[in-house]
Amino acid sequence: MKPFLRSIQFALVIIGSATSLFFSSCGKETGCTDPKALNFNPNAKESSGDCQYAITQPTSKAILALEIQQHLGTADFDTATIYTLANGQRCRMSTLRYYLSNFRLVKSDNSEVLIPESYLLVQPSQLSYSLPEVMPGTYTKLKFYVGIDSAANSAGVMPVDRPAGHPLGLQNPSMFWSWSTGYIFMKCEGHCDTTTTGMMDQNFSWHLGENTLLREVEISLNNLVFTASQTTNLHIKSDLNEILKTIDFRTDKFSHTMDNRPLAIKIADQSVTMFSIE
Amino acid sequence: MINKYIYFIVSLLSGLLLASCSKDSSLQAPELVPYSLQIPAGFPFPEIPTDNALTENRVKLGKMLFFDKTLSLDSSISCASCHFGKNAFADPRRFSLGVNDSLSLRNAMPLFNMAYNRSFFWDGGVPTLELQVLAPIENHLEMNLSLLQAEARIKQNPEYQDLFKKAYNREPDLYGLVRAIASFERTLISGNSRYDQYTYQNDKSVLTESEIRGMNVFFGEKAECFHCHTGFNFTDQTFQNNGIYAEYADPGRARITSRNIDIGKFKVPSLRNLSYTAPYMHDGSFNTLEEVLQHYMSGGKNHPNQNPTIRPFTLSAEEQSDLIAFLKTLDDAEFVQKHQLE
Repeated sequence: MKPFLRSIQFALVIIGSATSLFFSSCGKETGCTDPKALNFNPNAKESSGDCQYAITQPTSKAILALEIQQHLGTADFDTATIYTLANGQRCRMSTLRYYLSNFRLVKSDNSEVLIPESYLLVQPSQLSYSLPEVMPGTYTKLKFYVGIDSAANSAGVMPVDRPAGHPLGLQNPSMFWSWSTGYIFMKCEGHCDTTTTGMMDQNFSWHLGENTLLREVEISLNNLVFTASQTTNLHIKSDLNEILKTIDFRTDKFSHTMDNRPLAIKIADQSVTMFSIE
Repeated sequence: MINKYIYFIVSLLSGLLLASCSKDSSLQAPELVPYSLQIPAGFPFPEIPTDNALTENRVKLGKMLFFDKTLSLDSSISCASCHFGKNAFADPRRFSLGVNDSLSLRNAMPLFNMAYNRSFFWDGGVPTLELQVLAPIENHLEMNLSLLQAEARIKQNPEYQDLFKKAYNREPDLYGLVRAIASFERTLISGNSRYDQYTYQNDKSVLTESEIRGMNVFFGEKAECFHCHTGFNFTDQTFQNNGIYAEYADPGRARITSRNIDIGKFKVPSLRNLSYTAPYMHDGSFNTLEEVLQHYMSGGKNHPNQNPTIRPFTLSAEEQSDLIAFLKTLDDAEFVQKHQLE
């Protein structure tokens, strides 16, 4: 019996030291790293993925159902439509897509609530866009960028590192400049006729990007109430005519931003006025 | 019997102890054998991204992708179709031929010592070796394949399933593709020229008198070559207008910055391996080193952005041939021989 006890003792010492080594040896203690969890471990540096939570009410956040309807003047955007500008020039769009990002809800005291990770790639064929849930409250304004904020528009995380389907991942047609490293904030392409021949025989192509062309949009929400666990619908109208009305296709056919900065700036400035609440 | 049981528990715990410490469990896999990068004497150790440590399997996969023609639209060309090992991975053609016989806009740059570069391409538009991989695949004048198509193609190739698993512990995708090709390119280090043997390996017998005289011209204030072509890789990595044109068809660095002061500025290239990398300049407009030297002696075409150190100077016939002889001591015959079939 005695030698057996001794070996138990010995084993316990070994187990004890092995266990303490186990917890200290990595320099990085693992455990639950979420302060909201019941088993939160303040010393944990690395998540062990086993956080336990108190059973809470269904969601305490409000759901924002966002729709963005793309218009071309009074009509819905359509790649078949031949659109006549006020100056008589005509055009037909083939591609339109742009990024909206960093959505913020503004309270009556002008404080802003950021909707984290809000990046949308808007294309006319899509009406509904999903955003993370928002804090319930009454909001006076909605703010967002046309384009991608400079942090996400750096080389820190490459588009190829994003999961498939992520708005900031690779797109087809591409929304990323691989030769200069940055997202294309807005891509608009099509054909135009600047003469009276009736032929849509000239191409135009506008690719906007670069941090300096990031533009902020602010639209009034008229004290829109977001209630916990409930869905609030927000219908945004975007009218491409706000850009087209400043365009003269005789001179404004091409900009990849760097090669025709004045045109890119004009379009970026106009893009802000495209948006309104319907 | 009980003792055995206890020791079993102890050894189980020790096993757990060993297993628990890996930050990235994939890095414990036996297939992730570190690639040992041979750094030549006089060269610093390059910075390697923490998420793309060099391993044997990553380099092997990168090399395979470098030669993979399915990364071009009609599967006719790979990276290696315009970057020839025997040319220090440059292209002897002035402009490279892309799919559908389209001509590239600039002369293909050689690929060596890229692990040390802070920016890539003649205009420096891309800041990392990983990101650099994407542009030639997508460029309409080069491989002309959309990146999502490229990803679909490597996913279809059964050979890649196993290789990506071993290299990055994931399915074939662009995350692994850009990192693997960058890994392969980081291993292309050239630093065993006769100049290196003379300067860093202390073998004073390898340079001729003419070459040593040429070295003095190179590092002298008359020719001023060394102001830009400096350091172990003979480049300060800046962008300079060297006055080869009075008006530039290619805006160069200004294509990225759209600043007028960057018009006609291009990356200062390394001067290593010049014997293998003709033609010279961003547009391959000079076929020989003699032509290049004549240009610099002429003082350039006086573009407003021209670097002020480029102004007329005279070298005797002997000084000229000495300088060119010195430049050829920067050829790394071992490097091109090692890669001559690539």
